[in-house]
Amino acid sequence: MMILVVALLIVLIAIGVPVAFAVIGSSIVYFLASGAPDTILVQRLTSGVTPFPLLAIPFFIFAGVVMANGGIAQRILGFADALIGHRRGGLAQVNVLNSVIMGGMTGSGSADAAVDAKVLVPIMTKFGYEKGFATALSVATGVIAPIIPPGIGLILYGYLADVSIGRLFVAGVIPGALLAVALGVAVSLVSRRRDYGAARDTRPPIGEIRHQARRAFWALMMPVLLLVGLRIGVFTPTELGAVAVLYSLVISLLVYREITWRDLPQMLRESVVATSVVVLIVAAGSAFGWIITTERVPQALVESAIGLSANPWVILLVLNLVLLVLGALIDATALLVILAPIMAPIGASLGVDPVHFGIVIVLNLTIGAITPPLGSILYTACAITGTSVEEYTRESVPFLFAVFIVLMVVTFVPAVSTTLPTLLYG
Amino acid sequence: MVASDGRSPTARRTRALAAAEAVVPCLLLAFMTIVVLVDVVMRYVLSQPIRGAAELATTAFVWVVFLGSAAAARDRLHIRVQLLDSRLGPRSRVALDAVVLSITVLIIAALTWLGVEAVLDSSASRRLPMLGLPVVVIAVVVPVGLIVTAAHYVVDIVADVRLWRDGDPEAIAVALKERAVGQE
Repeated sequence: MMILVVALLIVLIAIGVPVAFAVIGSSIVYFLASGAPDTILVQRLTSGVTPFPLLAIPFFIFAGVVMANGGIAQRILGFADALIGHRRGGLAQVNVLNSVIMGGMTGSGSADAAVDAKVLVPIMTKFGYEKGFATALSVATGVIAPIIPPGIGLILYGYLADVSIGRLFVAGVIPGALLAVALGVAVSLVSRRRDYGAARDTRPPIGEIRHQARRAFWALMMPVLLLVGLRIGVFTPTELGAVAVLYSLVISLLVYREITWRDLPQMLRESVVATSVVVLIVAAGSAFGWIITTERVPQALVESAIGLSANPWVILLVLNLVLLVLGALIDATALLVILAPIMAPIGASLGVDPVHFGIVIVLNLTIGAITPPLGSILYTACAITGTSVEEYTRESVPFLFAVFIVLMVVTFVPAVSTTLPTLLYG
Repeated sequence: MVASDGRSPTARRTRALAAAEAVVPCLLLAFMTIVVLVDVVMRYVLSQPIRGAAELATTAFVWVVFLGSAAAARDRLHIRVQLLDSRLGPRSRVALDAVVLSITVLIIAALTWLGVEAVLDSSASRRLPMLGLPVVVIAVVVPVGLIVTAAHYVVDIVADVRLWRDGDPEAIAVALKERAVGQE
């Protein structure tokens, strides 16, 4: 029964039914076939999104939209270009750095990849980069956003697995930096082979860098505000999201003056749609999660995982591979909602630090979202740039390799995730 | 499909409709942001948190999600995988789109049926602990939002069937391009 439902889910996703409705559809089939009380389905759809911590998602999306429209994003791009634009494959490096900074504001891999695909890919192709390469890079850098504060993946995992969201936020900083470095190295290697040029001839004078930094100052203060706000514990992550909205509105409307109140309705609409498409999947995943739990899948999984080997590292490696495969077939957000409550006890029984384990799971599933055949981030970006999946697949190999290496480091070197939270929180 | 120049009366009317449809979730998103901010200020500055602020904000959130679903469907922005699209010719793509959307509408119909049942069911009498609002206020938005979502898909299905029947490659190309714009 369970296998049929999961198979149906994968088929529905593969033919192109919107992920949220594919998950709901296979849940309905389960409820009808099993005779479970079907009003639970609707209850779970709403109760899955009513917890207060999840409100952080619309707030950070809203803040991200304001920043993208209000001149904050362009200033960051200018700053990134001044810092690394002179290097080989300069624009590609800017793409990576931009994803780090923008991801540090929106927390969404799809949103970041969409912005890169819309804004940077056309510029990159004009400067002689292959479209497939530029698209693959825009998608690959999308793995950074969910893992660094305020990553949506971290918010979801923290809430579902009952781990401090603040700690997860802090823990994601170093893995996020590692991803950026690994992708930067991959860009350098490919650029050297293909002889991609720099975005500017020489390193700009220090005055230019300082000028760009000053222009982007209020934008760059945003992640600082996030970390400080969390650390001193004045705000919950949700409240911090609302504060981020206020902050970005004040900066864009009053300091940079690049938007006016008249732009607000359009930005609200953009935020509503972006929120709905993500959270509807969370809601659907929560209904599907009920089925998984009722069918006692967690217990079976925990038992088979623990029976696999006595060595926790071996089990972790197997979990990694299983999650990568699942992530490449089913949407990362839906999977996270379904699997986080299942995975957390496995991690605990292995004696893995819950914060470290959360980072591994979120990173793992996000990599699935950029992996063919069915990753959702990759389809978002490919649809925007008009790149075929085959072309994407060919060009994404060095980037997939780079993020996989980081995944292995993050999995097997707990200190990468645990050092910062221990330093800050004790 | 709607003319893309944005000047024809149909296009203008569609745009006005799109704006109206999104007004409620947009206002609710603004509202929940303000509620949480004011609550923070009240708590720290006046040590007087708002009673039921979290309940108000989360209820608004559920409404934003399900009403926002309709706006997302209009722009064809719901996250989906386009594994087959690039392998098909234009006419087959339109046909596939009609099939996929029909399945989606079917799923929504089944869910709406269950949703109405749930609304009429036990939850109607329960109330939210802080505000005393009936829980049905939350549940009712599921069928409402999803019916409008399905309505948008039905419009697209009709357009797809017409395109497929006429088989005019130019018209199909224009329609597919408009859909691709929706992807942004």
